[in-house]
Amino acid sequence: MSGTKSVGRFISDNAVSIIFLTIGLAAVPFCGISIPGIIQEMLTRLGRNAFLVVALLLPIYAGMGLNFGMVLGAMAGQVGLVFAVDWNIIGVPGLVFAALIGTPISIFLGWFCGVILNKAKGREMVTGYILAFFMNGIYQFFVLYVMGTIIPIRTANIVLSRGYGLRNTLDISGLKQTLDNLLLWNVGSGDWQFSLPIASYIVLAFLCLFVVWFKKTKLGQDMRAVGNDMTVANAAGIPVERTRIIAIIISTVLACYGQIIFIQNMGTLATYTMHDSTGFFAIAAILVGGASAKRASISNIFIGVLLLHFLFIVTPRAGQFITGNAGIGEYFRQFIGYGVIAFSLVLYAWREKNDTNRLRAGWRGGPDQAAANAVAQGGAK
Amino acid sequence: MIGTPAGKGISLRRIIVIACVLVLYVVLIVVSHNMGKGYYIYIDNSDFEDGSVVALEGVSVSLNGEESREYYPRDRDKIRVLGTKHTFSIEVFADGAKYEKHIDVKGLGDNVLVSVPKLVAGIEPAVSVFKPFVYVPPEEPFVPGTIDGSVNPEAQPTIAP
Repeated sequence: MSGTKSVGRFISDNAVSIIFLTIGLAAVPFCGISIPGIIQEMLTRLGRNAFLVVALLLPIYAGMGLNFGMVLGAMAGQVGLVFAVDWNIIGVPGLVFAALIGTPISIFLGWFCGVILNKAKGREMVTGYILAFFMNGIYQFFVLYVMGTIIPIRTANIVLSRGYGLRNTLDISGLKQTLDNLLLWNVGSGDWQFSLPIASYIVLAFLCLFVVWFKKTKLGQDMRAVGNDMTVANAAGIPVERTRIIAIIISTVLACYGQIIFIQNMGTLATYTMHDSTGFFAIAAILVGGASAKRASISNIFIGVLLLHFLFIVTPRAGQFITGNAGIGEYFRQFIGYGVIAFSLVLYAWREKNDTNRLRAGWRGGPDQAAANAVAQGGAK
Repeated sequence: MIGTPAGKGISLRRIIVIACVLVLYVVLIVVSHNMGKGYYIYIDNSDFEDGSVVALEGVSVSLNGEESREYYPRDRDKIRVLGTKHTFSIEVFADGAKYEKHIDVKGLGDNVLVSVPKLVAGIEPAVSVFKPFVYVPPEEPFVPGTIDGSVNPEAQPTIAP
């Protein structure tokens, strides 16, 4: 009985990951891509996307849910890249330059986002989502009008023919895959030969170490306390609002760096649209990895990125194969991305409700009394 | 009540630390700018208008030890490079002579023209500022009432008879 219950609990806890894995495996025979091809693509995408997903961790620790406002950081990263392209700064120093330009912008935007989210406690996710739309308008104004008029742009071929505003797509060939190719290892042989972007992995590993270290610091502990209960944390003397703002600032700055890494891997910068889907795909990835709006870990990130992109690689091609329409495969991405976010949030709400009911039943002397007592004792501490 | 504690005055020491961090930040930006500054080098093998230099019949040029490329009269190539100092390895097909020339593009802007015949002949300056042509389409007259100024006959107001 207990075994059946624990299996049920495992399935319930990992429902999204299990569903993704099942759909992905079912699509593999129809996608027409070889297994080594799928693995290579997943390894590349891991280096490209995981940094952005790690940026979501700290706001979750601080109880602010999934930071849809990370798009602001992505915009800051893009502004940094625009200046790197305009001033013709190439290679890894170009990426560092873009990051250095983007950092103060993302700190300001993160602070702004944090202040707004502090005014909307309990509704951080939807507020962040709408804030991203609002800031998108300002970003569009900035790149469409300010650049080339108030801020001079030296490189004529990135400016629209009217003399101001940036072109839709910027060629970043001087920065393209510079981090990936900095330390590219080829392992295996024949069909099973894989290129590993080791430099990207090293950057990612340092970021993960930073998160692990940060959790152990006083500020990290404060964030956990704020995430558990803001009132209790405030009573304990923790500056709640300041801690929440710091969480969002760090998340926004990391999103800025993540976007730079993402774009250098892609090789082109879609000036007006590239940041739109940043938060959306990062959040989908962390949810697929088994995280929720209140609980996440580094393992969720890696599982999520691999699973989501596994599905992104195989399903469009499988969709094309099954329906015979090349265009329809692309709809799978949007459908899957939005679907997983909605499904995960609904599942999370349902699980929360179940847990609450179970605990209440326990307090009334039901079968989960031990769990309820444990919670009560934990709260007393 | 959830909030931040009352703010305290900033000490002189803290101001100095902040100032140092800002200075370090600016230095980092300048260093990354200088380390990563890229230039476009236009390698040119053509006659000069005044007839002082004649294009080489055939030449192989390698920039900074990269794979060499062949240039024939009126050939021009564009290569992106990092940094200001570069080395040209040139081999003239006609006599098999080999040259190694060093150039410094500092202060010449992002686009630099290098004349291979001048480099080989040792005529200065072999390196000059280059202004690439950028196509700018002609401005269309702005028509009030349209978003982008384009003429849409269907959108024009009709004149009542």
